[in-house]
Amino acid sequence: MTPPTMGDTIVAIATAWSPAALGVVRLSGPAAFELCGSIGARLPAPDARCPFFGPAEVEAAPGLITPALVYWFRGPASYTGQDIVELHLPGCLPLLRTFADGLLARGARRALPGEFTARALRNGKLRGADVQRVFDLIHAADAAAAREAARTSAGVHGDRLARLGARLLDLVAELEAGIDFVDEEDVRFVTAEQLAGHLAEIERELRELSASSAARNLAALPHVALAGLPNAGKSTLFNALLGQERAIVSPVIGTTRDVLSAELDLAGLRCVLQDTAGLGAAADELELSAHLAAEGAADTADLVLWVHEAGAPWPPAEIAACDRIPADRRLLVLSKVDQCCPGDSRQDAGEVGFGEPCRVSSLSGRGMQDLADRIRGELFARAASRGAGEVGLEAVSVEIRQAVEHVRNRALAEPELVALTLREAWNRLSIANSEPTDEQVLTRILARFCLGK
Amino acid sequence: MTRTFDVVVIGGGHGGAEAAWAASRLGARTALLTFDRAAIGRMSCNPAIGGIGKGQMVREIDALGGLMGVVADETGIQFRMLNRRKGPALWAPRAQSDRELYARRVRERLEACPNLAIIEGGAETLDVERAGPAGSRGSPGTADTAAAPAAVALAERDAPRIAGVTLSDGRRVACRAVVVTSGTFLRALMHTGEQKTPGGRFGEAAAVGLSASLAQMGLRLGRLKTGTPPRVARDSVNFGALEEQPGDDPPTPFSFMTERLTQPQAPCWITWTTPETHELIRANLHRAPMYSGQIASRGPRYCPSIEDKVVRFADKLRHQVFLEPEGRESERIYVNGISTSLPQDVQARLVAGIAGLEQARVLQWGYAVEYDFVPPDQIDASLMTRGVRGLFLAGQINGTSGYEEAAGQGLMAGINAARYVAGRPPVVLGRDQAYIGVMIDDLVTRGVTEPYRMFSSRAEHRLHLRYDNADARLTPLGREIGLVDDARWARYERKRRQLGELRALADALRHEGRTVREWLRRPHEDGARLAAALPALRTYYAQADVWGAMLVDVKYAGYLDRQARAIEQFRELEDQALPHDIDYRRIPHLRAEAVERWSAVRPRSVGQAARVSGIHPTDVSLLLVQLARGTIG
Repeated sequence: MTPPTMGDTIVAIATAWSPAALGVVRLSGPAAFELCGSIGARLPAPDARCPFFGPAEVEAAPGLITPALVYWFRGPASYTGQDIVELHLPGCLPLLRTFADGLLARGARRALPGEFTARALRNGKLRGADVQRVFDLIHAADAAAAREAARTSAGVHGDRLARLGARLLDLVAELEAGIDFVDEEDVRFVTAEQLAGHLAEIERELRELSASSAARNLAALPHVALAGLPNAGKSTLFNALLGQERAIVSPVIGTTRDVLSAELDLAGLRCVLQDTAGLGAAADELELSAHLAAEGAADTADLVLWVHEAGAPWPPAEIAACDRIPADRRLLVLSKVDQCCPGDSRQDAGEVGFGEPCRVSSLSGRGMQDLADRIRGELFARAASRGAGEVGLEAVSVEIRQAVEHVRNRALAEPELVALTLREAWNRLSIANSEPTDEQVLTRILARFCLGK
Repeated sequence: MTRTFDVVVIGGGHGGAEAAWAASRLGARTALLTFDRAAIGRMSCNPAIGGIGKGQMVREIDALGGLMGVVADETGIQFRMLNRRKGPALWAPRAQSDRELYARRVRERLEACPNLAIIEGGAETLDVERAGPAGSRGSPGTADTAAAPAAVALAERDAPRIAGVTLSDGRRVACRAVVVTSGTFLRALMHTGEQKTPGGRFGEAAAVGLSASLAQMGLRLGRLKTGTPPRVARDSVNFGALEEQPGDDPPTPFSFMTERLTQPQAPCWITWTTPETHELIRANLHRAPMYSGQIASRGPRYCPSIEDKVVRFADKLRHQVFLEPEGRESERIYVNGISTSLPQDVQARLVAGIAGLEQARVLQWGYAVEYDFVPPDQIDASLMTRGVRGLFLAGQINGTSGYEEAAGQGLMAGINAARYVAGRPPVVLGRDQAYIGVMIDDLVTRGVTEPYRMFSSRAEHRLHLRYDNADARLTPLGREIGLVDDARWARYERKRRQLGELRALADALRHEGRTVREWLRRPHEDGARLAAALPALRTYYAQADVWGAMLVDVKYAGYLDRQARAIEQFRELEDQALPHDIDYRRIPHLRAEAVERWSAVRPRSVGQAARVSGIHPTDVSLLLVQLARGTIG
């Protein structure tokens, strides 16, 4: 893991979800000014004391020149107490990512959830009364980042990334085997040509992955999941929200076989709507079905719409399942309100205590606008607590390119230098990986080679 | 009559010898308790010191003023610098030793220590006392607990502390600190085929009472396994058929105090197992204790028995075997590469199936040994147990493997035991300072699942933890502690001064339009030409260590800066101490796993907390906020 030191310069996309015309990439740390200078932003005069801003043309990647407004805040008179730069760019997520990646490749570190505020606190910029808020913020931002990571790793993109990470670690293991297990013979387990070849391949795939950003962007959007008992009306609601017949809607229990997802535009706020699978529940599997649906949704979604048929009884299993979803990420939706009397539904919502429900009828469209507004409001409330999103693939690419160049120029005369660079690249790829690198390397070495006396 | 000491070291192996050496030289009245005086410094396994990661550790022990490097230089019969063709951060010295002579020289040095008594006997129980009223017998440790919160000071005063050791024959010695370096002896059981013999080493006894005593004090015990190959008679080996492996010419010493190695070098020999021997092993696996279920405990993966090699790498047609003489004149040859616990009759045929060993006479059969250890999450980074004040553990009892690993811990345990008795704060080496620091941090932060061995890949600051600069990293600290004598200090100062002069010259002196530094930066440039052309360089060029250090500087230039920055960041978290009594349950939103892991490990710094397995960066963020809360109220 990369522990949060204050000496690093951290970078984050500050406003990825908002439908605004501008997006913000923010940096904090000793090298913030220098890093922004390196992409073409003009530096403030050394004696400038006040916050300073200026228009600039910045270049994150070769050829990608973008107009920007650049705001400079010199520490300690800044939010975090360190030098801060904010790049205000066109509010396009792929563009913001490219800038963040570019800064990562130049040596910035991706901010951890809530890290800007945590730095402010540690530099004495916040009052004691704010501490609880900082804890909450870090927690909320971390949970959002974890959900995004779960979505990414579940996707095709995540699979490829995991495979690339494993290949990289295999190469590190081969290098390290040639360093640590030569007690008796001067063994070299990988030749310079092989190494350079494999690395170049990994690097090319990383760049491809970085470019094919459709999957990444979808994962980065807020996710809204529909959950509830089979036949509660989820699929109908899904279609009603999308305004088109995407799912096969049927009154037969269990027709939704896969998780359906679709991109939804709620008056400018983009999100991904997911219909959790109808888990083939027979009556005796009801409990399991509800439980799994809740678990799955809670793991990956930023907001869970718990769909319950208005007037229908609440089996204990459903109450328990619904209760598993944190209250601040749950919105109760009573469906089919046209088919029952209003008194009943008010009562059952009140009884189970899941907050003020949204009452909708997918068929008549009643309550749908209200539901869309509630979703939008809930997601906006969370947008502020987001971190920078995922791994800076560009930065990893740069490191691997350096290693390839080193090997091509100097072969393996100093394998420790190549290993150093590759281990840094690998650490970047696997930020949340908790098993120490050296143990993983050792395990790989010993599984593959017959070593030791 | 009860004899009284400050520190009692139990065990005279490589850990115990360093511990006794260090504690006595730091002024503690020290006793070394061993079954057999003649077994002090004995090598249980292969007759060699050093290796990759390990050799650097020996160099560190030496830089701090320990024993191992000096004795290895005196008694080595073949020296090699491993990884010589790779970058200098990987260079690692290794030597074949004269096994008998090594043990004798260690013993002689300890016998000459003025503050050290050697007592023959076995430790049966460790005696503890509940702390009485303050001041009743001084208050050891006050220096480092002074700043600790009151609750902890109270808890620590309540913890039992060491009062003495009772021997199996009923004798008793009083002391305030004990260093246990029991090696493989705790409740040790040796296996050769179906035959089981209690004992920690061939022909020696086991320590049974001590295990029970440790358990009674509340320490959790685990069990590990290791193994050793057969030894054969030199005059029965047909060397003519074998490839000879010579030492380096000229050889490079371990110790900073050794000017030059003058002894002649002895060769080793290389041979191979055959498909037939593999077939023999496969056919007899049911009689191998590791496969028959007779041994359940975990052995080291990186030090596999020949049974393991044959089973796990079935496609390999032969495995390399090294014949290592146990001394210049010794009749014993150590058969490195076929560690085994197969029955004697199978071992006999196995040995005879190896080229050159067709007629070999086996002098000692291979065996596996199972022994108790104390899972090291129960000690802190000073190597003192958390539950019993004054009880220090070092070496295999902490789940490590290897002479060098044991010696490194023994040295630190001896230093810290002496300091504990004197009421001084412990010395803890950082991961950015020494391989020894990496090892101890790994042990106390992560625990072990197999015997722990050092590898250079365990050190994230590997470019900095080098053979050549161990003195710059540690000798000033050793001087401060009091282990580095005047002679060593003078030598260190001289090298430092000369290196400073040379660095200045490298920028000032020019040759054919370039500075010396610029010349040295070119690949394959070792400076011989420059020294010939520029007389001012000659004195420095003549000193391998000074010139070598300069070369490292130049060749690694950009990378060393990068490493220095990494170390700076590492230090930032490492220097943030955590209170002993922090209640992790009270940190808002901290995950249950983090609460559990941190409450168990009790990290002493934010940096260590971050390294605990299963910890996420966000957990550390929350911890930092909690600390900030403390300072802003």
